[in-house]
Amino acid sequence: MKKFSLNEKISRGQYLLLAFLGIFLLIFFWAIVSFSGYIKPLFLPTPLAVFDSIIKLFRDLHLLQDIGISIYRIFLGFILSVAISIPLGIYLGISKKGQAFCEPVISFFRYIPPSAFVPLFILWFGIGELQKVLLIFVGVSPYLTLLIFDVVANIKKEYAEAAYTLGAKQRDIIFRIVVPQSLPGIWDAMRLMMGAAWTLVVLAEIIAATSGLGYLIITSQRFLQTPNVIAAIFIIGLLGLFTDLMFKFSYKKLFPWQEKL
Amino acid sequence: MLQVKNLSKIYDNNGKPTEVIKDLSFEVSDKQFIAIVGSSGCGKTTILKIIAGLLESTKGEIILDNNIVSEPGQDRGMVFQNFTLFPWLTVKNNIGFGLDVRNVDQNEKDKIIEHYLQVTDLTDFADFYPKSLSGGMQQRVAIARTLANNPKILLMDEPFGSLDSQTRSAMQEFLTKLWESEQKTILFVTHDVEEAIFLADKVILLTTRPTKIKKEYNVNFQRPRVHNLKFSEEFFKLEREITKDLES
Repeated sequence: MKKFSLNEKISRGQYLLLAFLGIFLLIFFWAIVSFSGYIKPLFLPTPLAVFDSIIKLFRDLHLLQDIGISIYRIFLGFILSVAISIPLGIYLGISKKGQAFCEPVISFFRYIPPSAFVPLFILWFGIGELQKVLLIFVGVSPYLTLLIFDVVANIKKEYAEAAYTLGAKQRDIIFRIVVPQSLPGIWDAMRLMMGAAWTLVVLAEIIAATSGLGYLIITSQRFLQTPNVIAAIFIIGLLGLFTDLMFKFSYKKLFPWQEKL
Repeated sequence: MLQVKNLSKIYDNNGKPTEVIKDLSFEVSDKQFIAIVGSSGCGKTTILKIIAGLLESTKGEIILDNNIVSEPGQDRGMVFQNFTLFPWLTVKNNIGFGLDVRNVDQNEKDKIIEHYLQVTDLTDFADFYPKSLSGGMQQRVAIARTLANNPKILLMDEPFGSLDSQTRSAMQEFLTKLWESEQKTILFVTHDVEEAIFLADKVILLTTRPTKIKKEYNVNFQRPRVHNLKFSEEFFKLEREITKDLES
């Protein structure tokens, strides 16, 4: 029997082949259950019908606008989260006092499902952009902060010692040792939380919006246009996959010094 | 000149104080190469870290050129046993780290880096990241990084301890040559008696915990020293003597 190896390497071609096989099987299985009529089209339309509605939605520009507005909301909410979480997470990672002060509060917010804030946020901020951006923020930033805190708390202390003996002061330790060493981990944490940002924007748009992919889903459902619902879900999946690839690709470009790429 | 005066260190081990170093005193004169030898766990690293300012002593003083030092600083450079090159910096930028911290101007910096790349035979690897260097090369960069910073004394904590024996002996020759040409003061810690005799002018033998000085030996072999020295009779005799004292 072949031994199970933790650092098995496969070729790029093999990787792509397997990746496509996975996607193909999903669509194949979907096609079988839908074309066979085993499940009614109202509940699960065929891949062809969904493909058809994607084309149609694209054609009347409606879809592009919805995609654009959803991405815009994610972008704002995510930038706001990153702008707060990176400095805060790094601070928590290097200061025990800061950690004692902030961690319980952050953990408290982390255990509240962001959706629980929706009614309150509508009351406070209405149903405009601010409400959605802030929902993304409360959903993303506590996790992101704690993930970054964890990255910073686990960096190798030896580097700081070496830097001290080279004449570094505390400021140098933070900006020349802690930050560059943590960046790959921070980048990974951001990649992880990007998925959550997508979930939250769709949630916000389903509950109260007049545009966006989530809005497309909820209005299509009201009019029993199931192919449109699935089309929107499919597009969200594709966009998620695309952002993930961008994070992965830029990781290699940004951190060529990392051991494992 | 570095003076270590009545140094003591007591670790608090869950409320149970453990005395690691007891009333230790010695001196390192300028341009001297001193090796400290002791068995594993006798607190050799602790001594170096206290001198470097990375650990506080319980009692005693560290005096460098008549000034008491207690904080880490550029005047006491340290080379560690574990590879501590900054992985996110290229070889060149690792060597320049201390110079960057001190805002040395660009021309001056380039000159110094160039010099130490040459001295350590790493010019071809200037733009490599540490991950693609062998262990021996990484330690050469670490030495270059410390020297480029022009410390008054170089503290070396078993820098070749995690290298294979062949690389290790090549690195020892590299270090003697470097010391002979650069004229630095070096305090070198090791558990390897052969290594200590080959490199140093004076070997200080430590006891087990709580650490005190057991005995000192002057090593008067001629310089430049080459590998063959290790096979001479006098070398062998001294090595046997120190090893016997170490184990008794």
